[in-house]
Amino acid sequence: MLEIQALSRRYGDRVALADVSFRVRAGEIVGLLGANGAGKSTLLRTAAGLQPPDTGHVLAAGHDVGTDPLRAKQAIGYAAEEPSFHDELSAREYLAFVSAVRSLDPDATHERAVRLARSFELEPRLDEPVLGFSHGMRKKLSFLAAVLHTPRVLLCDEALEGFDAPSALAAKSELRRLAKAGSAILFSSHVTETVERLCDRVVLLHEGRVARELARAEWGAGDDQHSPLARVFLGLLGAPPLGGR
Amino acid sequence: MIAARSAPATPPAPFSAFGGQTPGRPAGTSDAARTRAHAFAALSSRLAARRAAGMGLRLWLVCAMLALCASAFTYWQVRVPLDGIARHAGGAVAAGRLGLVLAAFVLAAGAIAASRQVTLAAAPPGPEWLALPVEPALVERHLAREARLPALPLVAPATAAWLAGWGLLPLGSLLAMPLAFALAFWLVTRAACALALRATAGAAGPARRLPAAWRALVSARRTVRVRKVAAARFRNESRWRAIARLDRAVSLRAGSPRARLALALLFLVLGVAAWFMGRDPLELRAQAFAGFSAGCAALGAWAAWRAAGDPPPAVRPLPTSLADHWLARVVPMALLLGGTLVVHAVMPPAIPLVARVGLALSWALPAMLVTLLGLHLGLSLPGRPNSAETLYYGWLGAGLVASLAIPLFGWAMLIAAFVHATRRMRDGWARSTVPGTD
Repeated sequence: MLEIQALSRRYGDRVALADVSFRVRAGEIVGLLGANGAGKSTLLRTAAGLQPPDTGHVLAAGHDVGTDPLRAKQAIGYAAEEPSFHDELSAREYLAFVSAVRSLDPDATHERAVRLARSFELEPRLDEPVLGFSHGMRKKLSFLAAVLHTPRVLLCDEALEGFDAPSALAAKSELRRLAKAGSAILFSSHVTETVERLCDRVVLLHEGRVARELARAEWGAGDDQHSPLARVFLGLLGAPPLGGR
Repeated sequence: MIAARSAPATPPAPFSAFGGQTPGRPAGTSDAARTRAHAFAALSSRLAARRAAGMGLRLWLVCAMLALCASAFTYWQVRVPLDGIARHAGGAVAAGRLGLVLAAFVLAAGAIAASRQVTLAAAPPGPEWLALPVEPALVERHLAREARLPALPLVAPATAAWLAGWGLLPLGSLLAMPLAFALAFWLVTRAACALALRATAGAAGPARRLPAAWRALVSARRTVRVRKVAAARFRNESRWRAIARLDRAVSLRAGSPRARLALALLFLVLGVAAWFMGRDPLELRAQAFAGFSAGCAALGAWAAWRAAGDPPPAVRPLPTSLADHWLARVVPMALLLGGTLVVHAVMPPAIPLVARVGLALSWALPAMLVTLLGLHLGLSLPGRPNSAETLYYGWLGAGLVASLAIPLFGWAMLIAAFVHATRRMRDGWARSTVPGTD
C-alpha cells in the first residue's frame, strides 16, 4: 500500500536518506524510530510529497507521489510535526476547506469531523480562529485533518506529541480503527512505549539508512528500566543502557 | 502576567460553504477540479472577510483617513500641473500626462505585489499545501491573490488622480481611462506575481522538474542548513550586552536583519560621501541630509525587525526585561548614528565648522525619532517582524506625504506615531504571542 523504493536525499554535504526501501502493507501500523536527525521527518515529508527525493520513488496506493501527485495525495493523510494553518480561519473552516479540496461529501465529513473533534476534546473550540490554539490543539487539528478522509495511507510525524492523555487514547483507537479498515500507517515517534503498544512492526533509521526492521515477535523482552524497543534502540546507537547493563 | 491572545468565536461555517461532492469521485476528474477551484475561491473570500473584521472600527477609520489624505494630496499634485498643460498644450497632451500618472500607479502596484509575492513564497501562509491533492496552478493563484492585496490601496490615490482630470480633459478619454487602468492593473499585478514566484522558486536539485509553485513551496520549507559557524565563546556579561551580541551575530549572518543593516550602512556612507559631490553648500547639505535620513529609516527598519524578530518562546522565558531589550538596540544605534554625525561635523569642506556642528546636532533629533519609532514598534509586536516593519514604513510614508502636503506636518505625525508606539510598547511586551496556552 505504501512503498518506499530506494529513497535518497541530501542536504548539501549531509546525507539525510540513503537508499531507504521498505513497504507498509494495508492494515499494518509500522513504527518509525530513530535518533534526532536520523531522517524520520525527511522520509515522511518526502513520502507525503512535500519535497522531492534526489533519487527513488514513493508509491501510495499504487500511485507514484512524484509523477502522479494528485491521485497519490488523494490517498495520503499527513499529520505534520509542526503543523501550519491560516490562523484567521476557525478549525471548522479549515476542515471544511480540506474536505472540499479532497472532494468529500460535506455532510458525512462534517459529521465525522465533529465526532473526531469531540473525542479529542476539540469540539467546543471548533469555531474559534486557529490563532488562539495551543501547540497541542494545533497537533490535534492537523491529525484530524489527516484522518478526515479515512486515508488509505496515513503518515504521522510525531503526531501524538502534545496530545493530552484522553485525546492520545482516542487518537490511538482511531489509528487502530483505520488499520482495521485497511489503511497503511507509518507512525514516527520518539516514545518507544507508544510504538510498542501501537505498531505491528518497526523500522529503525540510523544516519539516513534502515538499520533494522523488526516484527512485534522479534522485540524481545524489556527489563526494569527499559522497554523492549528502548533496549534495541540504545543498542543500535551504541549507548550504554541505564544502570550500566 | 502572560495572557493568551483573545480568540473570539466565529459563526459556525457550514461544511458545504467550501464546496464538496459525493465521495469516491476520482481526484483527476474535471468535477473534482472545479470543486477544488471553488474551495480556493471560498477560502480567499473567507480570509478577506475575517481580516476585514479583525481590523476593527478604529483601524478602518485610521486607514480611511490615511487614504483620504493621500488622495487629497494626489488630487492637488496632479490637478495643478494638469491644468497648466491643458491650457497651454491642449486636452490631448494633458490626457497623455494623466495616462502616465496612472501607468506609474500600475507599475507601483506591480512592484508591491511582486515584493509581497517574494515574502509569501519564503513563508507561505496556510497548511502544508504540498500534502493536499491540489493542482499547482490553484495554489499559485491563491498565493498571487494574497500577494495582490497590499497593492489594492493604490486604487484610492489613482482614483483621485483620475478625478483631477475632470473638467480639464475630453470626456471620451476620461471615461476610457478607468477601464484601461483596471485592465492594466489586473494584468500587471498578475504578471508581477508570476515573475516574482518564478524568480524566487529554487530551481536546483531534484525540485527543478516541478512546477514553479511547487518549487517555491519546496524551497520555502527547506530549513536545513549544514554550514558550520565559528564556535561561540561563553561570557559573563550584562543582559543587554548579551542581547546586543546576539543581535550582532544575527545581523552578520545572511538574512533579513543583515539586508536591512547593510542598506542602512550604505545610505549612511552615501550621506557622508554626498558632501564631496558638488559645490553649492545648500545642495550639498540637502544631499547629505537625504542620505543620512534614508540611512536612519533603514536603521529603524533593522531595529523593528530585530526587536520583533526574537521568537517569543525562545526569548520570553529568559530573565530579561523590556529595558534590557531596549538598551541592547539603543546603544549600538546611538553609537553608529553618533559616529556618523561626528563624521558629518568634521569631514565636509564647504561649510564652516560651527555651522557643521550645529547641523549635525540638529539632525540628531529626527534621527533618534525615526530609529526609536522602529524600535518601539518592534518591541510592541514581539514575534511579528513583518507587521512591525510594515507599520513602521506605513508611518514613514504617511509622514512623508503629510510633509509634502503641509511643510513639517509629517514630523508632527511621526511624533504622534512615536508616542503611540511607546505607550503600546509595555502592553505589547507583556502580552504573550506564543499561540494559545493549554
